[in-house]
Amino acid sequence: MVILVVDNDMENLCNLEQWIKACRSEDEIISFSNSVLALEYIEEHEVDILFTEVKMAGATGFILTKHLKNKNNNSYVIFMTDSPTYAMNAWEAHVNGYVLKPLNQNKIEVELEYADV
Amino acid sequence: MHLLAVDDEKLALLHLTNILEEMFPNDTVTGFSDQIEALAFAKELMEKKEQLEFLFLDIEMYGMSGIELARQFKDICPEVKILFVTGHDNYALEAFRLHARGYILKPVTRELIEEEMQNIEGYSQSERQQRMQGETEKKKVTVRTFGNFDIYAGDEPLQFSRSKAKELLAFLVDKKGTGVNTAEISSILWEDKAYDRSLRNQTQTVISQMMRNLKAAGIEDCVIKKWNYLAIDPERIDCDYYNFLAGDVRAINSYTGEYMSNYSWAEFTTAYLDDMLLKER
Repeated sequence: MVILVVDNDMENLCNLEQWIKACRSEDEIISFSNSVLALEYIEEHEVDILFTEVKMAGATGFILTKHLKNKNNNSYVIFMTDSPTYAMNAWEAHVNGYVLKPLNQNKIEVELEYADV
Repeated sequence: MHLLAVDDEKLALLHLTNILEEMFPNDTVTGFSDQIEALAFAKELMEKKEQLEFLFLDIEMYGMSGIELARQFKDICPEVKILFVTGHDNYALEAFRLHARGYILKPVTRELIEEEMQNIEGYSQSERQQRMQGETEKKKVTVRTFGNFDIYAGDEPLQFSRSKAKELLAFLVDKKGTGVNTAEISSILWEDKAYDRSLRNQTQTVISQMMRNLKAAGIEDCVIKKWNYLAIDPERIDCDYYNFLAGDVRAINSYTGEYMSNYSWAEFTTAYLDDMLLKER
């Protein structure tokens, strides 16, 4: 499986890589702090799971979701953000998971479990 | 399979169950305006080992809220897919916390529900139509175990997305209908690895892939899948190994000492078959 992680916040990005690696040793983890580069990646590669912040300069989490779902209807998208404001719009965009920051290993593990079912 | 809907407003409930009955004519749709009755019904279904697949819940109800109701349903039936149907958008975050599969704003229409189904694997409109056609003409499933393991839907050999998905199916066939859990599967597919969280996730991925491959060929009903339980349905398949055990002469003659030769764990059954063959002579 290919797991894509996108966030302007480098610290969060690093943490996420570690947490995901800890529970998915056989999967490929790709991270971007620049959402426009992430969008390009989505257009040109297969992505199974996307962890993304919502509010980012360049391409927002919603834009990434739209492009990914267009390419792969079965892809699994998880928003990670600090406010519940986007939740209703996330449902409408067919986002699959939504976690509030600050994140931790456990929250990430739970989301990945649901991504598999 | 079963679909349940709960809404304390009877007109809204009827409207919803009508739509669901149209969309799922071969399945059972039941509506409840009382939360406790709905929970009791779900418990009964679990006891009868019937499959409760979908739950459509209103949120703001007299008595127990849809959110609390969802939690209780998940305790009874952890695998059920929950979709909220509500006039309020302020429970959106809570719905995500519960890992619901959909959140639909009233007024509900068939289009809105179809849109949610498009995103639930196996339930898009085309997949449901295919399944309905398939149900009237069930494909013959042939399993060959003498030599290498192979499975055929009609005349087509099944393609597996990962070799471990195929190995898992072979293991289920070898078990002849006895159920296995995730830990057991893990120990077969990854013989020396410790059963940690990572391995459990990988095992669940392989299980999903196998089910997807079966579904793509229209023969997912060969496997009985429940929470932490997987088994082959022996009635559904025509298998040389099972025919051998039933005394079928042609099957016995087709055995030349090789059983699922690509899997090391199959050697126990091979030894058993060799034994049986000696006894016959």
